[in-house]
Amino acid sequence: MTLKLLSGNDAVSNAVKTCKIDLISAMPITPVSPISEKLAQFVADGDLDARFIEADGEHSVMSILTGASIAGCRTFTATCGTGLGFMCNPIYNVPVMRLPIVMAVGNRPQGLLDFLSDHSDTMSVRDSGWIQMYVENNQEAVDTVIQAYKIAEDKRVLLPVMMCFDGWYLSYLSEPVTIPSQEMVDSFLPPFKPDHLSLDPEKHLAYGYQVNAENYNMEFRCKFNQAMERAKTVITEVGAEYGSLTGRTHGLVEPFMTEDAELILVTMGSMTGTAKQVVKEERAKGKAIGLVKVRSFRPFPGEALMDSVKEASIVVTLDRSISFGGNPPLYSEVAATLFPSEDRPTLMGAYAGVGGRDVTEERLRELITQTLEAYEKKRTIKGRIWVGFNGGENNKVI
Amino acid sequence: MSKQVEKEMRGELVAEGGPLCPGCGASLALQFALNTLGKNTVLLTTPGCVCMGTLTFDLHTLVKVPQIFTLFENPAAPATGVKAGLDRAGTEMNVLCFMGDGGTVDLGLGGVTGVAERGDPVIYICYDNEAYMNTGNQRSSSTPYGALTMTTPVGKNLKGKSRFKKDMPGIMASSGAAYVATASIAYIDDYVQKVRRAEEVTANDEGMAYIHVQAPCPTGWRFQTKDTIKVARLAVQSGLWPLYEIYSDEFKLTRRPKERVPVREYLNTQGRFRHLSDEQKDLIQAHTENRWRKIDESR
Repeated sequence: MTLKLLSGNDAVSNAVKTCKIDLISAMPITPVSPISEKLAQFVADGDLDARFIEADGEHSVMSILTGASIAGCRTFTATCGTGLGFMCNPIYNVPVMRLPIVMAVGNRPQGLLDFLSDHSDTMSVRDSGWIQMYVENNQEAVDTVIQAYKIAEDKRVLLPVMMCFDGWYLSYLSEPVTIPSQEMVDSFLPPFKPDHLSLDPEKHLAYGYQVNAENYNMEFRCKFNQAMERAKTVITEVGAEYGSLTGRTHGLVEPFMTEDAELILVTMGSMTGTAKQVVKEERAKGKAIGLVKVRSFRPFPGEALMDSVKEASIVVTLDRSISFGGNPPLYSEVAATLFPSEDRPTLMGAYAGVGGRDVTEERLRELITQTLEAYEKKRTIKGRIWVGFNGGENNKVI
Repeated sequence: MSKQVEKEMRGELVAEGGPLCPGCGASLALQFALNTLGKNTVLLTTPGCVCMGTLTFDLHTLVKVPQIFTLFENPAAPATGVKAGLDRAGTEMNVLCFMGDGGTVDLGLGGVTGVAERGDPVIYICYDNEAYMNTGNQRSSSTPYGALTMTTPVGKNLKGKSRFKKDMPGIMASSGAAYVATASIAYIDDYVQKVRRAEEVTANDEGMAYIHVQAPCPTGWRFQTKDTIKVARLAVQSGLWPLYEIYSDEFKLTRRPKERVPVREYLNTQGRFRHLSDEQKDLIQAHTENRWRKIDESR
């Protein structure tokens, strides 16, 4: 295991190669096109024994993976933004059929205002029944892809996984990355042998059927939800096992310098790296700041998050997407997690990185100062804070 | 059905008592396709009459083969995945998409031509009942000129559909399908032979096989349920529904009406054409003559 300088796209492709994939289908889309190019090249060179199917659109991509997964294939694709939008309809069918498909999403805004990086694409399908894991850097992208198959294919789960890594910031940024050896991945990830899928003519099973609303439908949906709940345990176990092999352990959430912290930032994705640097510097100056990274957004790890933030006075969420006219996704989840507790910390919510606006150290320091000042004056900031908003102080735009 | 074709059948794979309408043309097309291919077949269907008729509620199905219910707008792409997955496992099975005209000619067109272009060895049968019948008879781009549907009504300003239907078999041939054919449930021997041919072509890995079969619909077309075969036969005899196949770039008529009957005889069997003016009927006749002129010139 040696360190290589790899872009997020190359890192993900190399990770997928180690997972004994049967079938890949993908479309070009900025900023993740190099993933499918690289995988196509691996297949062309004979370095990867898989089928690469060139599709005629993202809708067909997810449909092809659906068919292949029913036929017993381990499958992969990568997309983002509008590509994910075009895929939306078949995306909802995959969890219903309990197909453990893994997809990398290089987060890019939904809608055509820009095509930099935010989470509005994956957040638009957060209720689809896919597990969603947001990663901080290219190494975690590699580790999460490999773990994703083990989580998805676990018989307690059998749900698809989206590995969400910020477009541009990670997909095109080169970082030193370790790709686990084939032997290590082979010992970690058993071959895909689904018991619940068969096209045997003697059994003649039907997939994707309709069920009677009064008899089964709600009960099926309840079962999907229970599988999602069980996924919390599986994500933790798989992360620990992977950690014992590589020294890199990932769980549902990752607390960073939270001990005795007065203020805790709650982040997801690539901004976490910058935020950790700021937290370290503020700690050095004597400010009691900490951070919790939410890695698994679906299932949302309420208990693990609560354990990490319950001692703090202030919790500040940083959402990279907007729910227009409502509360943003991460803020909503954290608010719902904190609310039942009587001595809950004060919660403030910020938009950071929306539409690809850079989340710099300076902007984060400003956010920390602003929220601490408000707290010291015994008040909270009621509206959302727009980090790095042009033309005024952060929260004055509301 | 001839004795020869009867021998070709590989079982009764569609159970009786399904919820399809009496006199349903699509139901016949499904039965003969499945019984010809046999149970070593994966069936894919989309929302539509046949899907509702084969995948019934409460975890029971009428069809005795493995079955996948796909989305309306992706009738074909899942078949690519299924075929690739079966290949990888070393399993030889027919993969049959049995879809209506709405899913094929409108919503799923991109995906259907994608399978043809990639050359995936999948059998695709489009049962063309010439409208969105399961939702109650709304216009599709396969609805013929002049037909009354719920969205091409007859009123002061509109007299049924104002456009002719898409040439779907032509689209498939030019998209790279290895085998393309039209068929009719009134000519079962011809249909069964074409299904068999589609099986051979896909088994030989030559590419996609596409069959476009007319499926008269008593409910939507407004004729008596006993007349389904008569209507289908008149479509062929009038020249409105030519029976042909295209293989290796070669166009071949599989049945030429000795003498074409006027299209009026076909149109008059159905309530959906009742409002047509003489001018409109003449236009359909002229369109048909023109089509046959092209067919004859190309031979």
